[in-house]
Amino acid sequence: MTDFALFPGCLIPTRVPSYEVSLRKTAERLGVNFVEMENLTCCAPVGVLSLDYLTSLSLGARNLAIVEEMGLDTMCTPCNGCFEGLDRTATILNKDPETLEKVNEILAEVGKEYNGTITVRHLAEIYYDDVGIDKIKEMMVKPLDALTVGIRPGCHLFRPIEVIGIDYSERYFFLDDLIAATGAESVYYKHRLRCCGGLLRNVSGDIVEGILRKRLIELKEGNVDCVVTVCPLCFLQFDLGQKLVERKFKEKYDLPTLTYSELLGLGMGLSAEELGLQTHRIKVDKLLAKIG
Amino acid sequence: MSEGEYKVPIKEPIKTKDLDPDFKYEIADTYLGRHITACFKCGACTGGCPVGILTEIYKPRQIIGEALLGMREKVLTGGELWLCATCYTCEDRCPQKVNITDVIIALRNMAFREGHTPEALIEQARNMVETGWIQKTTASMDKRREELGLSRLPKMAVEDMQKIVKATGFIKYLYKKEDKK
Ligand code: SF4
Ligand code: SF4
Repeated sequence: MTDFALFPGCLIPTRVPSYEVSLRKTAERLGVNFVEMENLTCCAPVGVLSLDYLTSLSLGARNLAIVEEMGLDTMCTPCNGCFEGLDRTATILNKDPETLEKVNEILAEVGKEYNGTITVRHLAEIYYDDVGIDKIKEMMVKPLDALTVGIRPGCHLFRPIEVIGIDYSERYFFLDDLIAATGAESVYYKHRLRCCGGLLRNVSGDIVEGILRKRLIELKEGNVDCVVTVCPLCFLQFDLGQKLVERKFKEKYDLPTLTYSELLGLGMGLSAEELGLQTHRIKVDKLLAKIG
Repeated sequence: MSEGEYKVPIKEPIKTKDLDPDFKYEIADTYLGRHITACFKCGACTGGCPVGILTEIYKPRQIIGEALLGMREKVLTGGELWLCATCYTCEDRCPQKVNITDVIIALRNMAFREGHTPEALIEQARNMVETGWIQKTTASMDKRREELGLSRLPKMAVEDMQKIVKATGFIKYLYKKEDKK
């Protein structure tokens, strides 16, 4: 397996540290080697793209140029927002020399140049394609067979299709196989690939909570024990956001949320404490009791 | 959702004198907006929109339709543009392969340059330019990281960030409002 330049983004290190803890601890055991990146800027995700296209591309390209300087060809990010922003930037710049030239004129201001050689991949893809289902199964010391899971892949793991390079997004999904590899069951509940509304958090709380509430009701109807996601924004929505919805609508969902790395860690026999699960707003005790 | 929470706005008749027939070409000229003129207004985008199902004030077909008609002012200043959750579901479902979300982003770029952006997004972008982080950071975050055995938050390349946003011209739109004050 090749080495990956790790781009953790901002949301995970600042707001979801248990995701970072668990991805580092599981990677070590799975033989995934992350090389730390330094001197980064924001990935300039869709919130920045929404204001200025060229700025988003240029900031993204500067981060990609750092991976080239490190002598690597693949960047891995565990964040859907970074993935969308940086994968889009790479997809455009790696095949459009005209735009690349324009961006490099900007990068010259900071003494950098991007040569269009980097592939950006999401951590989930690395678990699936590079580590592989067999290896994950082999590493499970604590089967999670008792658990039913509702997946929240996070829109930007599989959309836009143009950037991801697929025909259609709303079909069978590799995250299900990753869940199955841990022994847990991924439940086909209603609207499981629909948006959680997270990116509207800054613009309209009413709409975000309205969308999130629909997703929570569907999960409840699907009779899942927990939500599992690979997106830090989904995580915040279903963890902290769930509390806000409960308060606003005077309802109780009590659905623990894990990142996939945390689920993996539990299956590998790491304790909740070692994985940092005490930082979750929705307590995971019931879940741990069920696993035994 | 209780009835009347989101009201359907009453529509005024559209006057041709208020329309900008070149608006759609202006959009189609941008990379993100390049497919807009393929739209045949079927409504598949609105049908799958997680925001549209919740509120009458946001319907992607309507935005695309208004833009094609040339309702420049309404589209860029009306505020609806910013209610897209950028989930890209509509792009998948469009029979005409219009990249609707990207078109909306292209329109947001125009609205931004003309000074019609929700303040929260401007503030977020300023935070990014000033600190390197789009997320606000606090000292307690480092403390929590330490407890979990993680390193301190990394230093960001703020100087480079500022040079880049200056070179792209971004910075001048970001602080425009304040300069006027
Ligand atoms: S789905 Fe496509 S063709 Fe249909 S209204 Fe939306 S943008 Fe137009
Ligand atoms: S990308 Fe925007 S317009 Fe399209 S379905 Fe999602 S929220 Fe609706």
